[in-house]
Amino acid sequence: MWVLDKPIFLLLLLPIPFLVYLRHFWTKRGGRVMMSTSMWDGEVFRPPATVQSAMLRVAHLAYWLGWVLLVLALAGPTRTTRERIYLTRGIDIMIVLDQSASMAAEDFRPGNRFETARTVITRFIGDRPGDHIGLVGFSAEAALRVPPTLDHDYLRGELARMALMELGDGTAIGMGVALSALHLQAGGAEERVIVLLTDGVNNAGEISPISAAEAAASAGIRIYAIGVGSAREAPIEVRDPETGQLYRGIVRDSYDENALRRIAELSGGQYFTASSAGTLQAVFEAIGTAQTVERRVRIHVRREHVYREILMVALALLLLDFLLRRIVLRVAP
Amino acid sequence: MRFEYGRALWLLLALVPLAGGAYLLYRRSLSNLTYLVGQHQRVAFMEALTFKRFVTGFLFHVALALGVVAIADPHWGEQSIEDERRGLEVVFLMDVSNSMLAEDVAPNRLARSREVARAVYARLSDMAAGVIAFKGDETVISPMTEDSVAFERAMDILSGALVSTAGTDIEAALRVAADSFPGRTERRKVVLLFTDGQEISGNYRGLFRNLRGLDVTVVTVATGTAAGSMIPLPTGGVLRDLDGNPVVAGVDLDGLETLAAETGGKHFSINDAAVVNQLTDYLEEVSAKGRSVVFRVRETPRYRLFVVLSVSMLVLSVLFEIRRWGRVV
Repeated sequence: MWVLDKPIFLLLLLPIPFLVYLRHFWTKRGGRVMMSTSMWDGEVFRPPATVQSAMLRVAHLAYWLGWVLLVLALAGPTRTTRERIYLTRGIDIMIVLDQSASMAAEDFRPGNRFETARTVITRFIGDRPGDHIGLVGFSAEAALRVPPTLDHDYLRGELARMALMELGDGTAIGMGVALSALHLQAGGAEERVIVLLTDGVNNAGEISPISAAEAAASAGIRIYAIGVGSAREAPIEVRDPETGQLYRGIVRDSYDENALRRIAELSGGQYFTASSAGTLQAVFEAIGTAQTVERRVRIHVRREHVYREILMVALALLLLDFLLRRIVLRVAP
Repeated sequence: MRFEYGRALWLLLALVPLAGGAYLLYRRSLSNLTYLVGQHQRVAFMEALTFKRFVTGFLFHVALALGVVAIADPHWGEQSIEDERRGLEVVFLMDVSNSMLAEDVAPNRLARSREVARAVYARLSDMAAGVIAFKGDETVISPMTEDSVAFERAMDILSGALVSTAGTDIEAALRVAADSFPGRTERRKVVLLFTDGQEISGNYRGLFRNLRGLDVTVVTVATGTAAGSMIPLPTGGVLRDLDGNPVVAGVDLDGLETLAAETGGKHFSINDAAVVNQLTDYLEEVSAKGRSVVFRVRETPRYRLFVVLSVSMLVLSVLFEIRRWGRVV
């Protein structure tokens, strides 16, 4: 959006038509040789159109346009952008994403479970600009990818860089939940939430999912557990990032519904099942609706002054007029 | 007086040949005039020609010069503006180049920087922090977060091995740091730069403008001594140049001071025993947490004065152009 800092200066545009009249049309101005053509009885006299006359017109146009731009620069043209400042602290959300090989199962058309989860999470992040969101990945081990942050561009970048099986082969749900709880505790938010996405049964790590959920619950952290995948057999194709070996097969395993339900209940959260891309999207929307807080927002207007650019063009136009009239055409003033 | 774009003043030099050319044409007009009206009427016409051509040309050049000064964006005087921001977002921008292994500061520059960063972080409350390591290139170790565990972990893994590109590109690192503030909060943005800043040279003006435009304050902490020290290698011995002479890594203190001053920040030295207290006090002052109203002093831009004068010169020039001069013109 464009605004003027001091629009009052635009009043200086008012004398310009008068000055144009004085300089170009006033018959009594100095520096002209006046002659009468009233006795002429032939066709209307018009000076021939030449390159010189065209240059003179360009010079006049440049001169007055330069004037207008000078006045415009005085008015202080400014480009403004609006930035939302959140005056109240949002929620801290840690997304815990399963990176085990089974997440490559292709029952979430058009992509696999992992790709679909990433797409839905990306959309979820975009819908919560005022919340600190973090990311933990797990398979045989768990690792913090991003601590809870408002830097959602960085978060989206890290989410895009996650790969299946990069933390080994296995499903350490307890480790993922425990690590998330640790980092959520270290932040300053009053409302803290873990969103756990998994399609498997805990079979790795030193901490059981129930113990991790109890620890999270004691810290006041709510867990939303999402079991992803259908009970049907699904084709799978995944490449081990360490060895580069390609694995193909059929997945029959499913998540431990009772365990996930228990994890959610212990912490006062909710358990969801998502058997398709559409239902996963709906689950995230439900979580988004459940986790709303009252926000106070101030709009901060950032101002970028552009008078320098306009001044430069104005001076260039005035210079063009001078060069054409005085140096090239050598017009008498 | 301070010019925001002082380099624009070089354009004034371009006006000199332009004015010279215009003056030569004026002299030629005088001789042409003599040829046209003869020597006996020359004086009568001279006055008109002087005002018509010389004065209008002079006024035009003065107008251009004033316009150039306006483009350089002069500032003087100060004005107070209410500052709405509270709290801090701090990017710890940590130099991990080889020269940071120099031991003129115990145990070495990098280890001491890490200690100071940790101590400052521990003393400041209600802040978000990010950690970026840089050499010839830079990497974000931790984005802006209130997660104190993530900060500690980022400090733990801080080492030269994080970045493979050799060198010390402070300018690029500052650009990345400036972009790593997510905004959306009312906190003030500070880059806390720990470096031995050996190569602060080149054109930083554009960077300073960007940082000021983004309301980012740079606080610099010189991590070594001006005299410098040799750089020990992990394999034993010290780093040597191509001629086999030991490399001595000093600190560009003036460069770091300028860098801080240009962005409204402050410069500190890690050799100062009270550096942690000084940094904490300064950052708390910047944070302005708990104060009801905070005012910040800003230099007043004065470009309008020069544009108004420039327009006035142009008006005068038009009036001289159109004026009838006696009976002759």
